[in-house]
Amino acid sequence: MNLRIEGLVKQYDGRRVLDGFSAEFPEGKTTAILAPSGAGKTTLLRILCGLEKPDAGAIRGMEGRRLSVVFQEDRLLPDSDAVSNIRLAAPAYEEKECRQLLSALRIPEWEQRGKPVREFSGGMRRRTAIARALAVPADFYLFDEPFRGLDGETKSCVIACVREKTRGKTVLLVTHDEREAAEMGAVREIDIAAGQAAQMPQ
Amino acid sequence: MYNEFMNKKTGHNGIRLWAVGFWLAAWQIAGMLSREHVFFVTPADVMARLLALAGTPDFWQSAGMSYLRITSGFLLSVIFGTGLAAAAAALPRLRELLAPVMLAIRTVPVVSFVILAIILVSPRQLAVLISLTMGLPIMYTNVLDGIGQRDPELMEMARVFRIPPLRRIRRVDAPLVLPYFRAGLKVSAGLCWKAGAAAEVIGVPAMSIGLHLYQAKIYIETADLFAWTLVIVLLSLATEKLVLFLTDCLAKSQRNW
Repeated sequence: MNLRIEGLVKQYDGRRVLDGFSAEFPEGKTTAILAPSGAGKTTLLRILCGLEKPDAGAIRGMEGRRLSVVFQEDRLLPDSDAVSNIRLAAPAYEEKECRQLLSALRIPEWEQRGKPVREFSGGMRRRTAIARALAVPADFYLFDEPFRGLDGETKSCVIACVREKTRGKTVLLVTHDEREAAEMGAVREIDIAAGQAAQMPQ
Repeated sequence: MYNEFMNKKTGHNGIRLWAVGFWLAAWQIAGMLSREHVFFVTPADVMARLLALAGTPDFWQSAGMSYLRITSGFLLSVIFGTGLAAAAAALPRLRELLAPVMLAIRTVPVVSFVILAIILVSPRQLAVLISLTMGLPIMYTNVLDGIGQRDPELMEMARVFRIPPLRRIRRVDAPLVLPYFRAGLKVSAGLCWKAGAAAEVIGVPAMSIGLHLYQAKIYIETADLFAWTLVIVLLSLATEKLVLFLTDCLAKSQRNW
């Protein structure tokens, strides 16, 4: 079942952040949401996560289905290590699986257990947040600028891993970077600012 | 967060052995210079008296019973203070209702509480009630402040990932509240012992440090007064160190599991 958003309105202090936004996200595919800063991308994700209530409009196709998120901020427990952070959100995920996932995201083995994530570099914390989201068994994955702060070969490697792990799942990818959307295999691009959906060139 | 808080402890305010030695030496010299004065005793006199007292069963029974009463009151203040703070954080009306009560307990002199309480409870229960009353607002205020410091972003993360309430409290909330809880324990433990000992001196229950302090006052036994005071200080410090050690162990165990 596709995820459908119909006439979503959200305003803060009289300023409309989302103004009748409508879109359809195909099931099992990746959709990229592109827009300049302040266009309401994060607000849209917060509404989809259930963290904000829209002033008007409807969301269909999410009822009873589980979602997983990479927030714009890492939102990790600073005193816990990478494996513990993953298992907090995904307790069924075995330690061995956590380690494999972290290794796939290029976090060295000796950094995975025992080292609090506050001692990690920004990029490693970001990759831990991505690992946590991927470990959660979900129907929807919401990624809010997940690859921010990653560069070069690491970024390509992480994107490949994320793409592999979310194959067949509905993914909403918020990004500024069209190349990231293409590397993630996004089938559609949605420009919130324009309020229109456009087909990605295959 | 707990670590960051603990790392801020620089040790500049800590007690140095040389400073303790200096003041003990100064006290010893002053005592030796005024030997003829009945009120003045030296640290050596106090230690000798303490060793003599420690050889009697009455000493251990009195210290043990006082310890039991005062730490019971202290532990009850920790339980009720933390419980009420958790409830007040969730219920703003309860927080408003409790605010004047906590302010009143904090500002009313201990002796007023003791005199009022001695009418209501037996001398044996007095120290428990007074320790509880004095520790309660400190634990309540500190834990409530700690709950107010929780990171809203982590709370949202827990909500989105549907982390069950108990696990969320243990893994997400507790590390943020624990530094405040710890600070509350530190202040509260000392205050409970001060107030509890004062309550015992007024209530003079049988088998208590308070009774011995009272008798030391009546018979002008300055060495006894200092020796029993030292016992209170040592028991107070032991209580404080033990609860802080347990809290630190708890904080460590919560980090990774």
